[in-house]
Amino acid sequence: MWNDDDAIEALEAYAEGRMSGEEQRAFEVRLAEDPDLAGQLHAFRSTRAAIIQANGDERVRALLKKTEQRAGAGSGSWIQWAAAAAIVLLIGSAAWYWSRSSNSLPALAETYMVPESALPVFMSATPDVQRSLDRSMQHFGAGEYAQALAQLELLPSTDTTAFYTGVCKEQLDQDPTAHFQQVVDKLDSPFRAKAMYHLMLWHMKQDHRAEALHLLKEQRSLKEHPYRERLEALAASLDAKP
Amino acid sequence: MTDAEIEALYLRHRRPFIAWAAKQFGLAQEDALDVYQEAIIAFVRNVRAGRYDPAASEPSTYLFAIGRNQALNALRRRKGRDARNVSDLRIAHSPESEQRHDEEHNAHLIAGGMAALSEKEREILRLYYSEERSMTEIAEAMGYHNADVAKKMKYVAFRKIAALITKTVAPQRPAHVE
Repeated sequence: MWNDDDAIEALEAYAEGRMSGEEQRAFEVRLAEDPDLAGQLHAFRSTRAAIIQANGDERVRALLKKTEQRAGAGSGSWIQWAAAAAIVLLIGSAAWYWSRSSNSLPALAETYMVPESALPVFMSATPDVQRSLDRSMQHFGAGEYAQALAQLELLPSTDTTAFYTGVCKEQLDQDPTAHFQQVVDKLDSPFRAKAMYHLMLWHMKQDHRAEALHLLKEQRSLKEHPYRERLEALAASLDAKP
Repeated sequence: MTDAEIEALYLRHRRPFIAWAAKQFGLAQEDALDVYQEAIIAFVRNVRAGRYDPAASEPSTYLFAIGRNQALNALRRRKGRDARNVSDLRIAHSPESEQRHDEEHNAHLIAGGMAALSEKEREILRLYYSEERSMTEIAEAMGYHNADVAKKMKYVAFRKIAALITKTVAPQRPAHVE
């Protein structure tokens, strides 16, 4: 199908609208009469679209590679991993000492932690749901996070249960990211800003600087935030740009 | 989507996705990261092609659904499992998920075809079809003697990729001619 350069040139000129009116009309007469030519035009368009898509994908791939490198977590080859592991061993004791200094991200996470209050009253049409919510909040208010978590896990998933599940896991030193992220993704949730704040603290606790700074920036751009003053103080501590 | 939006999306879901892929599919961190990047690429592709409806699903839900297909493809490729075994891992079947799977499979084939071209061949196709540069500009940028020489090179590259695509991706004839 593609052996003749002139045939490709004609398909390309037609598909890209480069033919004169007369040439175009003549080509369309041929298209109507010749099913093979129509098939070639279809194949040409598919190929052209595929090339453009592949180039678009490649551009995004390059962008992600750069982003990954900036986040300081590039996958790299085994040699890079081995080199990184050696460096980690060499500076391990220094890093351990540094992690306990007052300006490290984990230390700042502890400083800026906010204790969340239990919700006082629940309105639910289903008695079982209301009972579990009440119990979970009683445990939560008493600082019994494991018991609160057990009750929350019995409930249907909402932004409220996801937020409190995240806080319980945070307190129990379990990974709460999926729960906070669920709330962050719900743009109209009243818990959204708080979930972003706790997600940021969790990343700080894990020393995930890029993610923490990204969340800090995103929160500072919100019109309203219950922890605005803390955010600004934290930004000053991290020397973050407004 | 802008580059800044893509970066924000990538950073936001990176860690939860990797943890999920490890738990759900037993992927090592490096493999999970590869799968995640391919899922983001597919997400951006679908947004740009108008195939993602924000009213129908949250971005994270849609991204993880794509990621599931990518993870299954990765398992097929890397562990040599057949489709029957891997299909056991599917949580939900739907026409949309099957279509998404086919599109991702096609994109993978096309990417493989492009990777088989030489760097110069890929570059000439990129400059002409994506950057919409003229053959004269391309000849100058790539050091060809003139536009005709560059055009011949472009056709060589085009033939190679078309042979793959017409064989594997777009075998159907159009129902009618415009």
